[in-house]
Order: sequence, then structure tokens, then C-alpha cells
Amino acid sequence: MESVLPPGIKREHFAALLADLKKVVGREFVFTDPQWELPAYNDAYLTTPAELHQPSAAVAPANVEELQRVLEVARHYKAPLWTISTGKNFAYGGPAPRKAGYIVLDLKRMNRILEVNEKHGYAVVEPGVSYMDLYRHLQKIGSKLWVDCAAPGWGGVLPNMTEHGVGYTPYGDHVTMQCGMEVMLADGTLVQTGMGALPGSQTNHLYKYGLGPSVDGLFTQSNFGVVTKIGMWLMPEPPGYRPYMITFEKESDLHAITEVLRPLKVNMLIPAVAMTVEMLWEAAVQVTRRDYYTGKGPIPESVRKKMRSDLKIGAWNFYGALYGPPPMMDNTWEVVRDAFASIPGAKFYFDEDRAKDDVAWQYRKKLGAGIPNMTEYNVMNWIPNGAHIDFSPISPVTGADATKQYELIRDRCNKAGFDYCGEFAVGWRDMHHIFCLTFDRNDVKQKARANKLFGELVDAAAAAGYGEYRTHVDFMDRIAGTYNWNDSALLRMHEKVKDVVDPSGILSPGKMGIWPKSMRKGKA
Amino acid sequence: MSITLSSRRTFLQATVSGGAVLPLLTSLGMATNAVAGGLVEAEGSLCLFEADAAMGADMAAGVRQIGLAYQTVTLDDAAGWSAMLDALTSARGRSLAVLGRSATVFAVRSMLEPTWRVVLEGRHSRQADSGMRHELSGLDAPMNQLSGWLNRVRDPAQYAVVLASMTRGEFSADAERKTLDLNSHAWPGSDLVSLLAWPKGVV
Ligand SMILES: Cc1cc2nc3c(=O)[nH]c(=O)nc-3n(C[C@H](O)[C@H](O)[C@H](O)COP(=O)(O)OP(=O)(O)OC[C@H]3O[C@@H](n4cnc5c(N)ncnc54)[C@H](O)[C@@H]3O)c2cc1C
Repeated sequence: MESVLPPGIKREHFAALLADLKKVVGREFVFTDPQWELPAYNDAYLTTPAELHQPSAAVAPANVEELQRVLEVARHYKAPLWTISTGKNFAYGGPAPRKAGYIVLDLKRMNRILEVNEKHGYAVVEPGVSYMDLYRHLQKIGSKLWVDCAAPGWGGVLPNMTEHGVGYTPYGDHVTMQCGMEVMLADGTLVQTGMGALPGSQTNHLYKYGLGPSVDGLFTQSNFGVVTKIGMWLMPEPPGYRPYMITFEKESDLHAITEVLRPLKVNMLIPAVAMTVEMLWEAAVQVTRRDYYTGKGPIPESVRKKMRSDLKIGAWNFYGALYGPPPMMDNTWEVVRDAFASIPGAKFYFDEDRAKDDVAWQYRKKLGAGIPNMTEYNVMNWIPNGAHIDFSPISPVTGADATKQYELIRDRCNKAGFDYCGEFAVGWRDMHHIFCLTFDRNDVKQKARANKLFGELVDAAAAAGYGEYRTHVDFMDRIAGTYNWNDSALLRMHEKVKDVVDPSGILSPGKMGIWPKSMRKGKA
Repeated sequence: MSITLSSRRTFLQATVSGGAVLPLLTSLGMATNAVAGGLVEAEGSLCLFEADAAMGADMAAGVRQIGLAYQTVTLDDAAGWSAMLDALTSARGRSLAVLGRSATVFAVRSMLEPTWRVVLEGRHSRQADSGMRHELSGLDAPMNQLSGWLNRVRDPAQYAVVLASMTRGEFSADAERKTLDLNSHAWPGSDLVSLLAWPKGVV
């Protein structure tokens, strides 16, 4: 790849900018080589040409002082930075910037675990701390606190939260569990939000709201600042953990499963994020498509049936878990089991009923107890050179909505020549539908088809009243454009905030459709 | 999960000077003195491979036989992942040969760059006619050296040894890159991806 320049910056200024960055972080932590260094900041799962997202450089400060000086350099040259922490945001853009030429601001080196508070159940971490790191640390110090991790354990505690990410224990809604934030504004000001604004505060990580407007949300999925530290509530290890799986025979059971599930979730009988997983997702983590079918188009029912029987899975597979003292778990289980038993063909499994080498069960069991792993990446083995981007609309928890969304995606996806591989994750009142659009990343035509399909899904979902909860860098403008109530009042407000907190427009221009003034409306 | 760091130099000198030839090397058709040179170089390398039946060979036995340092990789547990990260930390400055299924190698690669430079990537897939297709991409020179070995190795373990032996090259950073599509007899196991990564400074 050829090297590129940041938008609007001349080559000689760029050379001076890099020299200034090197003075701040040292030569070793400014990356510029397009052949050997910058590929580390590509998104291997792009459906568009890599050139569109190629960074001009990357810079990795070690601490807030260096970060402050990096921002100063960026302001001086009006150079766009693209903030990443652990940089593993695959399926939504990986570490790649929104546009070519940005300088990736890589916070991986800021990776200290600043505090673990056993008594009150929280940890305070810097941006570069991965779930694996935190888990390892808790193990080392003999902590009885659990991590709640996203399926990929290499993801970061802080950036996953800022992306509104989810995990699989009762603490799975990460934004809800975050308490206390430190953020650096584009002008270098360091701000403590909530109770942290009170010098000597005793409750920075215990009470979220402080006094006055609660601003933490302004720094999630945003480009208004660089988050440098957060507190995260951690779940104390419960006296008992009993994960279970319920398989359902028919594709049409999705409606009933969702209807049965809603009251169980709303009444907190299923405390963790509840997962209803379609069979191909279950298959893809353990076998390849070619093991079963080499034809094109949707996999025929006869083959799907064999897959279900071989892998002991259903057309839909529900994962939940009981937490607490054994008598409580026993009582809850009676209610849960009786409710789902109303669906003909439902089969119930506990750990002892599943094989030790059952890949799908084993990783879900770990996730329910906050034990990080990476098993879910195996979905990429489903087809040769597998990659995926995730389409993730939110809907109400009803059978009608689940079925409507499923059919909306499945039909378009099959027509475009892709397998439907998806799951429904039910939180407090919402349902995230995650459709893992899997394609061959070495096949240019297939990538173009995947890109087109994704766009169609955005429009079809919006027309039906469903919006996405996060998205890939390639679709940020398009999806932000669907949140357009009252002449896009929300986006206009975001832009006003952006102009005030980052007047030079240096922080992640275009993140979630929010552009600085200089790059707005066709200027980008 | 283990790392074996045997004294390969001593071992090879004894083997070569004593006229004994390792069965593995013989089967690879390597001339002993050339091998001694190449493999002494391989002291500076670490082999990472997926601990899975899909590899179709007892990788650990294969690479242990040749005295190669290795680390198994798994996506399935935190301890295994951490062990790999530890191995990478202690392998700074050494070459890496990585073999596994596509997802696993993708994950490992994401942890290597930019500290290491991936000079060669291979996609090895079984064909309907029971042969094996090898799509190689990377630097010209190591690829040329490597291509001759594809038909001579018996399984992924032997291929790993060959990869790991390629630790040095007189290559400049702007060395030519190319792609190569080759066929060979079938290797056991499922489709694989391989990487050869050199530490910063070698290229
Ligand atoms: C197979 C697979 C399974 C997945 N499963 C899940 C899952 O279960 N749950 C889930 O939530 N996600 C999931 N994902 C999506 C994604 O991998 C995770 O969310 C991952 O945690 C994001 O990467 P990261 O944590 O390294 O964040 P990063 O890549 O470091 O950051 C992500 C984004 O956050 C913003 N950001 C980062 N750091 C900062 C900062 N300091 N200040 C301000 N903004 C910042 C930036 O815009 C950046 O682009 C999955 C992806 C794949 C491929």
C-alpha cells in the first residue's frame, strides 16, 4: 500500500507533525510504514476497498500526560485522530479509521488496572485493559469478583462499554455497570464526571450521577472526548451457577420462545442477557459449511436436520443461567422450565447433559460466568477466508417482532446468496438482533454483495421502525441518517456539541455520523 | 501448553557429526549440513500452532522431534490465550511460524503486528481431487524458498519446521511481494492458514 496523508495536510507539514509526535511518545511508538506497520490498523473484515480506511500513521501514548501532548500536536496541525483502545472492534470496523489518512490514536499502552475494590465490587481500568487482562489479574489476586466479558475476550473493558457492548452475566449491560469516568477533551482538559468532580470523593465508583446533568453518555459511541479511565461494577461470585440450554425443533418456534421469555426477563427470573441462537451460529463455531454442504444458496432442510442431529442442537437454541443459593436456583428453574415446556419439542440441558467437547455449550457456559475466551471467532471458519460484519437492530421483546425481524433479514440474506447466521439477545426491555453477515474476504464480488445487502437491511429495518444499536464504520452516516426524527434534531444537537467541545475537529471525525464543522455536508 | 527450548545446536552437531540422520530430516530430503545451517538459525524461532484435531498431525510430537520451541494456541480458554501472550513476550526478536485454522491464525496475527512483520501467509486447502491447494502471498524470496518444500513435507508439523527454519533473509523493507498458487499431495487434517513472521529489524 502507498502511504497517505491526513485530509487537508501537506506532505511537509505531515513530516513536521510526525516529528512532533515522536518527541512526545518516542520514535518507537509512532507507526508510519504502510507495508509493515500500518496493516495492523486495517479492518480485515471490510466490504469496501481497504484504501478507504487506510491510516496515515498511528501513535501510541503511554499515559494521560503524553495523550495531552499528542492532542496538542493534533490541534496545531488540525490533524484528525481516530481513537482506539484495545483495537479489536471487528465486525464493526476493527481498528480502522472512518476515513483514509486519519492518525490512529492507539491507547493500548495505557493498560493499568488502577483499583480492584473487593468490598464494593468494582474495578477501575485504563483504556488498554482487555477482559483477559482483568480476568487474569483477578485470578492472580484471588478476587471473588467476576468479569463480565463480550464474546471476544481480547476486547477492552473500557472501549466495549463506550461502544454500548454487551456481555453474558447479570452484569451484561456494560453502560449500566460503568460508574465514574475520566475523559480528556480535545483541548487537553481532563474531566472527572459524576462524583469524581468532588475533590477527595469517596463515592466516585459507587454512585453514577453526581450533581447536575449526567454526562457520561456523551462520551459513549462519540467523538466528544477521549475516555482515559472508568470504574466498572463487578459481580461478586454467586453461591451457585447453573447454566442451561433449551433446544427447540422448529424455525417457527421463535415466536413462542420470545413470548415465553419476556415475562421471565421482565420479572428477573432470567438475570443475565438471554440468548436465542439460530442453528447455523451454533454450527459455525464448531464445523465448516463444507463439512455438510458444498452447494450454493440456502442449506436444504434435509442437511440442516442432519446438522441438528449430529450437533445435538435445535433450530433455535436458548441459553440462560441460574445464579444464587441452590434452593433459589431450584425454585427459579421450576418456573423457567414449566414456562418453556409449553413449547412442544423443547429439550432441556444442564452441563452434565452436554458433551465435554461440545464447543458451543462450553464457551457459552464460560461466558455466563464471565470467563473470557475467543471461541466465537470460530464462526469465521464456516466458509473459506471467512469474515463478517454485524447488522444489529433493536426491537421490542415480542414474538411478532422477533419473527418479523428474522424473516426480514433471512429472506434478503438468502436472496443475496448468504447464510442467515444470527441470534437474539434480550436485555432489560430490549432485544438486540445480531445478524452475522459472513462472507469470503478474498472474494471481491461477494464483498460487494454483502455491502449492498447491508445497506438494504438498514433501510428495510428503519422502514419497519427498527434502528441499529451500533455499526460498522462504513455505515455510520447511513444509519445516523435513519435517526432523523424532527428534521434530524438529535444529529444537529450532536453537531452543536461537537463544535463546542472539539472546535478543531481533531477527534474521530465522522464517528457515528458526527462530523466537525469543517468536514460536514459534502465537505468530508 | 508447553514451551520446549532444547539445545538444538548441540543436538544437531552431535547428530550431523556422528553421521546419524534424523528420520524427519531424511523424510524431508534435507542435506544434513545444509540443514544444520538452517536449523541452527531456527533456534531463533518459535512455532505457534493450534491445539486441535483439525491439524491432522501430532504437531507437538513433530516439532518436538526436531527440537523446535513451540507454543500451542487455543481460542477456547483464557489460560491458553494468556500462555500464548506470555510466549510472544518472551519470543521478542525471534521468528514465528504460525499454523492453525483461519480464525485462530487471524487472532494470532492481530496480536503480532506491528511488533512482528508477516512476510508470508499461506492458505492451504483440501481439494475435491484429494490434493492440496496452497495460496501463498508475501515476500518473493522466502516464498521461492518455501514453494519447493510443499510437496516434500508430509503434514503440517513438517511444514511448520520448514517455515520456522526460514529465519533470516537479505530482504529490504520494499522487497517485492507476490502471490503464488501451488498444488501438492494432500496433507492430513482440515484447511489451514500459516504465517511466517519476522521480528522488526530483519526486514
Ligand atoms: C465473533 C465476534 C463476536 C462478538 N461478540 C460481541 C459481544 O458478545 N458483545 C459485544 O459487545 N461485542 C461483540 N463483538 C464486537 C466487538 O468485537 C467487541 O465489542 C469488542 O469489545 C470491541 O473492540 P475493542 O473492545 O477492542 O474496542 P476498540 O476497538 O478499542 O474501540 C472500539 C471503538 O470505541 C471507541 N473508543 C475506543 N476507545 C475509546 C476511548 N478511550 N475513548 C472514546 N472512544 C473510544 C472508538 O470509536 C473505537 O472505534 C463481537 C465481534 C466478533 C467478531
